[in-house]
Amino acid sequence: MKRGRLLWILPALAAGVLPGTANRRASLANPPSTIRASQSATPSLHPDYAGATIPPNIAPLNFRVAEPGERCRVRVEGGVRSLQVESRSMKAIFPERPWRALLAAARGGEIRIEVSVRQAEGGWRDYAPVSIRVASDEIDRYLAYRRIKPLYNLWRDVGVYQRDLASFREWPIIRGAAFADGCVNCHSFRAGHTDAMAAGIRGAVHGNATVVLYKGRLEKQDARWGYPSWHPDGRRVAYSLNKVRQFFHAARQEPRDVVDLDSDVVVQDLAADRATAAPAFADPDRLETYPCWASDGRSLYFCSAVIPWTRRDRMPPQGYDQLRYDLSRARFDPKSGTWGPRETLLSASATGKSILLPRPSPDGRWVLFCMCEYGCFPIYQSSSDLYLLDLKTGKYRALDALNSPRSESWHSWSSNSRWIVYSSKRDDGVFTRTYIAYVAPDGTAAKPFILPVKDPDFYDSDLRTFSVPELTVEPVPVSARAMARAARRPAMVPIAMPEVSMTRKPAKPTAGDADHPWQSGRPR
Amino acid sequence: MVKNPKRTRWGVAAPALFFAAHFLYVWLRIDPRLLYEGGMLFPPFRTGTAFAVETLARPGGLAEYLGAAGAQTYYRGWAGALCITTVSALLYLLTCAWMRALEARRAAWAAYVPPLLVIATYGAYGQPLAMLCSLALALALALLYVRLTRNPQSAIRDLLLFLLLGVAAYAAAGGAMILYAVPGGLVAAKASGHRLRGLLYFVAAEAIPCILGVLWLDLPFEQAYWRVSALDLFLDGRGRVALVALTLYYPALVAFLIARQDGTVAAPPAVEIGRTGQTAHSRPVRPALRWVLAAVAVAALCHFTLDMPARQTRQVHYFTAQHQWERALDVARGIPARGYSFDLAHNIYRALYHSGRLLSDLFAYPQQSGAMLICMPENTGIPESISRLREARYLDLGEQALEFGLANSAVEEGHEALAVWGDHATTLRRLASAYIAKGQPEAARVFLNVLRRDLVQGRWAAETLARMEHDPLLEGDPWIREARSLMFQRDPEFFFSTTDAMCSLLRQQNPMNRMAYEYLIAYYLTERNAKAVVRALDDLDDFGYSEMPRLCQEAVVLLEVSGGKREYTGSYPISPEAFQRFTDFSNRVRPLQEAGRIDEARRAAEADFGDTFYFYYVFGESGGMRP
Repeated sequence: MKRGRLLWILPALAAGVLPGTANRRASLANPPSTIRASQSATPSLHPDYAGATIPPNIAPLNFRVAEPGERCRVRVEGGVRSLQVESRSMKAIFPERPWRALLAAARGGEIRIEVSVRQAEGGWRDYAPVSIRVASDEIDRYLAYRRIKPLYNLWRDVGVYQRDLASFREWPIIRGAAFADGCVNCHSFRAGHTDAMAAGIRGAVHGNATVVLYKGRLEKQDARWGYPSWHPDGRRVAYSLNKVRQFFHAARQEPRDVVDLDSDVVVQDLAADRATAAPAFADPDRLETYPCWASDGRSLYFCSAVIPWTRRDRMPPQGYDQLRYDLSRARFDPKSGTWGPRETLLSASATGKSILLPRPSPDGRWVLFCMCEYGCFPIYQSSSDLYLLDLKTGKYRALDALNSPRSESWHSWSSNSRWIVYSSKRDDGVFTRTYIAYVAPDGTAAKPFILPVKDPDFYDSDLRTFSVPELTVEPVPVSARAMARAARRPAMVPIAMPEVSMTRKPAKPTAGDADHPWQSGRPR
Repeated sequence: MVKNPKRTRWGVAAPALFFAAHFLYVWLRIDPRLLYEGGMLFPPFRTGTAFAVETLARPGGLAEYLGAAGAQTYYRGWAGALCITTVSALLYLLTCAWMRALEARRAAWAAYVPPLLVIATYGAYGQPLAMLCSLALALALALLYVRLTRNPQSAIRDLLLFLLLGVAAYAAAGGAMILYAVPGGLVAAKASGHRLRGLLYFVAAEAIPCILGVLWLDLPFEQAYWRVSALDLFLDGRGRVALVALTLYYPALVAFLIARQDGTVAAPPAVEIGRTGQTAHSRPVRPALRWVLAAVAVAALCHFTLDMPARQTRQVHYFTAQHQWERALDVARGIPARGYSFDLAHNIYRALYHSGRLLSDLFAYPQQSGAMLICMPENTGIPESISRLREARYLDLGEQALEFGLANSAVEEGHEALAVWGDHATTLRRLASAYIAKGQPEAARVFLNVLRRDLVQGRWAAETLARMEHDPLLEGDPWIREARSLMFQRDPEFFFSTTDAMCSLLRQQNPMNRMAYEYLIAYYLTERNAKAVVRALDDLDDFGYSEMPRLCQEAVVLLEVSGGKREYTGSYPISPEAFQRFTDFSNRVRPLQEAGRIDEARRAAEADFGDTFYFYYVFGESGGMRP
């Protein structure tokens, strides 16, 4: 869209059309001198950043002062620096450069926010200061996520975007509009690095495939993978193969539900254009999904459950709401390419819940995962919460500071294991937003905060979700145009598949399958 | 030259009269309100910078922005007519300006062609405002170029200016670039005296979409060239012929005028509307007669370009959306069976239900078995494209689903519409209502916050948000309370996919769900299942009907006559007229039926019994199905 904006050589024309914005002033100024009323309660900030722990390299935490008044004055102090803004719109919009200097000065300490509000009847009211802790550890600078309106059966204008967390700059990695309104999903990167990455594409015109960046080349592979995970060596990718079906509830708050009628995990060797499987994660009697490599590349974590139904053509299958996944692991020897047996790290029978989306931390100490009442799709389960498994002790606990009564899922570690980003529906139960949280070396999590955006009211009226947030240390090295060109290629690289239950019994394509993300049975 | 004051006055009065008539025709005959409720292709618009920036960032964004803003005026018929007339007048003025620039002072009638084509476009009930704006913008920029290069200086400077304005034209008008490129090229060729230079200008202008759109913005080729033009397949195609004609009219006019100046084409006889005197070349036709002929031609054009079936269908949609049920049904009476579509049928069912006539007058409208499958519209058998079905479904079923108590279906329909058709005010409002009914006020607020920036529905959204401050779930709203009382409180034992299953389950949830009850009986009637109708009548008492609806009485009579005993044991009396109608129907049909002359029997009974259950039961469709 940036390019589109530049298209305008007549900015005055646009300026005439657009309504003006509220007056704002920002300065590294002296303290306010006209405070009248005494300090009382802390002010209500929107979004609520009070008490959060933030990285020292995060973009300005702009907020709206959600208190009655005609004008607000916000002073932020950190270390030896301070920053002051004043606004009639009650929005504190901080300039980026002074903000960065402020965070640098406050690194390892905290910033203090003092808010004063001018009352309608005159005079200023002071609020008690609000503190935000600034961690010493930086967060990986880039964040990739998919933007899409809540998806039922149809879509338009889907895109995977990357955001510079140190600023508000966002630009596309790949957009569906560039390949005949196709869908793009399941983006993944090699351990936070973008030199190797993959994104699934679907569409009636350009087919279902996976666009892979490997050794500097973009390929369109003839494979409809599920959830991917890159081996740290950048040569192997573990994928799930899922026979996904969507159905709808008549009464539940979240109408949508998803079940995997069948699923397996396979590992693709990009050097050989073939995929292999092992009994540990391609058991015909079990469902296996959500593979994720350990940072040393010597184990693969995944979720696994015994298939409880015998009829695989009934929707929803009998007992779908009793299906719960275990947290499993298989050891791998990268030199010989051999696999160990499936180990159950945490069983659903022990937790009473379905364990999904295991994400081992880069330092190898933790496995972050989510658990919900049943099933394989935590984003549609309000019961889904985040948990942390200590690989040293084998004990797990809920990350209460991060959880809410609504769904939390799709989490990703930063490369230094101190930050996680995750998707949460805590705000409204419908739109997933990205939250960022600090995780201390002992595994305790600090209060999370929402991904900062320039306009504090942005999330109040944004109809698109942020899904599958993934942190990366660098931006994607290829342009969205190159990705789209790859997606539009008619020729696809064939991938030799192993014989597993998913590949033995391929789902029959039905009319409309190409433009449906799920082969929906449409019961309601 | 001394100006004739009478001629000058008339020169102003003629267009003023024309556009006054234009305004009245659009307001009273075309009725822009029907365009506001015109479905998912109606362009959404939001105030504020976010929408503006997003829209203006696309080639043709300014035209889209202006078109979307202007289309909001359709909500009030007179305001919409004023907007459309203003665009027509603008095109008229631009044509006049072009003619002046090319020193063509005669043939003023040529300036009236674009407004007439605008009327023809709107007569087809499309949404062409963005395209009209793009035409006007491209023409205006081309004219600006002509004016700025009236006194040619250096060829390089002129070319650079042409390219610069060309970029602006592409940014503002998108695919209407041809209206910049062709006239601009022609004028450049004329000014320089070199046809090759004109070709160079044309090619340079037409390269702009390729360079900016395809290579820079990475748009697909067709999008880069056709966005917001008559060839833009993403925009409403109705009235496209008139739009294409309008698009081609200007290059043709400019080419013609230039050729005439060069002497390549002979000057036509001067026919200047409004001139009281005769020119040296004009034939001795009386001005009054000329006016009459012009008026007849315009009236004929209006008559033949007004799509009456589309108008009627849109009236039904409009009156249904306004909850003017009787008016919707009145209009629907004039629509033949072949004009029926899924969304029209559903609006008629709704209107019948809300006016209390569903079980009395169902067969007064074209009806055949299988058309009432409200759960699975893809199976209705109505020959329509999937996309049209989807459009209809999201437009009309969302509100109906809430009335039924199917809040999750309303949510699903709304989100599908949102994903495919954009942030329409109607969709946002229904989603907000559905989420409030479902007890999710935080989600509703997101939709209301977007809707607050809508020019028409913004006030409703702001008022609802204000009400939610004190009453987050709008417990005090009777409509929401009613919808909530009908909703499923927990998932049913099985997933339903048929109308009867759905209605039955809804009634299990709330036995007083009158809509589910009446639709269930209507479904049985359309399925010719008289036994099921009579069984369902056991609950008639619960709803306080003053008398048994006519079609139900006919089902009771039919079953009694065919079975020899009365199956219905309830307290409602069966009127003697119901029996008499059966006897009369039987007397009229049976002899012909027994003689194997089924079609003749059908024709004989259609006029008097076409709206009865007897007729439907025997012939499998209501009267009026075969025009």
